[in-house]
Amino acid sequence: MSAYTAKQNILQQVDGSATFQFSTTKIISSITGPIEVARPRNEKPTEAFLSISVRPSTGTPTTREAFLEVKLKKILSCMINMEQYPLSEIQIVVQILESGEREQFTCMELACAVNSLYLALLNAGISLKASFLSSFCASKDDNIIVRPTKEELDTSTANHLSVFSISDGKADELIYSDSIGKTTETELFSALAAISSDVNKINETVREVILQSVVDDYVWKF
Amino acid sequence: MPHIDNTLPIPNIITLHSLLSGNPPLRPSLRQLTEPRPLEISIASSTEYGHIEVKLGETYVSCKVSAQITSPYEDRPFEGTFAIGTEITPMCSPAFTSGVNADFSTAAPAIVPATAISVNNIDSNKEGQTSATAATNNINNNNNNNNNDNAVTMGGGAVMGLAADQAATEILLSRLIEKAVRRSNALDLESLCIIAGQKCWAVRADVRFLNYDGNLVDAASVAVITALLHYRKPDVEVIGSGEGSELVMYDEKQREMVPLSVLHIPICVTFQFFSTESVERNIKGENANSLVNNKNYIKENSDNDDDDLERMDIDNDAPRGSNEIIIVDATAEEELLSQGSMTVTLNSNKELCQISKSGGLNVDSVRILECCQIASDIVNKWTKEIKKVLAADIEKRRDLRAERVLSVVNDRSTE
Repeated sequence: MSAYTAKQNILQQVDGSATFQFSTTKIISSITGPIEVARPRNEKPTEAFLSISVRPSTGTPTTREAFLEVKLKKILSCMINMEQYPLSEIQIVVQILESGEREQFTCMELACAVNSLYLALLNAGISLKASFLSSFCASKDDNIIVRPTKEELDTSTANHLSVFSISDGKADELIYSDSIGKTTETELFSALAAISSDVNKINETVREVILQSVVDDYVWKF
Repeated sequence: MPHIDNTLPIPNIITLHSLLSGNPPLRPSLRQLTEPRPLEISIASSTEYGHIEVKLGETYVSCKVSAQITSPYEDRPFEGTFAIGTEITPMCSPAFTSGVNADFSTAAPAIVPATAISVNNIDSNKEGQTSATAATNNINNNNNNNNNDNAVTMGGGAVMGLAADQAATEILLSRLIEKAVRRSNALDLESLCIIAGQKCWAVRADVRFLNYDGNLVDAASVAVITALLHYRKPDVEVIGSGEGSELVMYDEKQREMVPLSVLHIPICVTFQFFSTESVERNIKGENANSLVNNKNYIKENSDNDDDDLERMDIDNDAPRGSNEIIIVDATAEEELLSQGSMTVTLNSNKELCQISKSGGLNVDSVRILECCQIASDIVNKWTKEIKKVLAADIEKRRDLRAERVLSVVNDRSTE
């Protein structure tokens, strides 16, 4: 199982920013919004427009990054209170600093991006329907490895990623699930169970990170 | 409906006032005019090579170098390729929109993309500043320019500032970095050749602008060159010859990784100019004090027949009291207010790699030389800093156990 670290409020020019790191995978995300919509055709009369751009650690964005953008949009548009920001845009940039996995996999980067975006959204003060966190696992010979390393991921038969909403400090509803590889129904269910318990664990650290940044930001000291 | 950007920081007019009318001129941070912000270089990954993060005050840039094996360009069979990717995302400032992609770095080394944008007749100004003889052209040009005064209004010359057009900013920024690092031959491309005409290394440096607080160019140039110096590529060997030759790549554990051959360390220093006179006055004529010095210089050096004409121009102009104010390492606010900028690239041997002044305020050639002197001191300071960080990292990565094993093998005991 790989270690993880998180940090909020790193960049000055944007409204919210955060980094999240799963061992070798490191991602920094930034949120600006709600702002005026950059292109008038993107303006939505009843809800916010999410402009998400994912930037790879090396080279120019490819279809792989575009695919990640679509996935992130699916996750975020149901977690952000979109109706609260009609006619405006929420600008989201996800910069992959260290990829940490092979090109054919995206689970480490996606899980990392979701978690860093959650922290960045909180930092930006964007209204959310619920807290959410993500984790991933790999399955190999009926074994579930939560948060596998790069090598474990290479030798696995399937990998699963899911995002859970959090209420009362516990993983609550399944928001998003994504699997690649050959798997069975029972394996998927046991993977979901493993991920939800891992999300509980991550949540404890993430709460501390948020608490720390609230303490740091607190200006009304007497 | 034109889009109005409400995300630009609003410059404080008091800042401009304190810079222009203060005696001595004061920057908002009370920093000296020729003193850069503290430079902070850190190595992002403790295991991988070539990932550097640079902080210049609040400006935050990261650079990652990667290498792949490809086939070389047909017209350059003995050279590898080197590309720099500089893309500005809204992450560094919401004033930059995503989507405008200026990636010239994939162009062949022989082909240099031409400037497609016209930013206040770049050429005439740039050349006009570098030689005294060309000053004639410059003044003539300026007279022609009198009509389009707004070309040198606030922000017009601040090419690297947010006030300028974003696409132009991005193109100029990437071209500047390209010119400074790639075209000054900082990276020896011939050493990247593996099999002539067939296999070579393609080195790529990806610059990521994370936070914008002015002076992206200087921070990026330091990040790129430090990352190149830090990067290690895996060792390769060609086994056999002719048809049946094989290329073997050794990983980190099998053979020590090979550093890139970096020939010199070019570093950019950007100056911002502020005029203490009204903009109109500055276009019309040059500064009186410096022109008195300048006149002698022109007399000695130029056999130009226009010389008399030109001097007449100067004599007609009313004397001016004060010089323009030149600052280094401007913050975002100062960049927004500035009326012109110039980027000088030097290495620690005081070799001038490039000088770029695209539009903005006209500055005497003497002042340009002064700027180069200031830049040279900064470059020396930053080069030392880069070397210090790299030396500390090498020390940190030393594997004492492996070194002992190797030294035992090679030990020749003399009993």
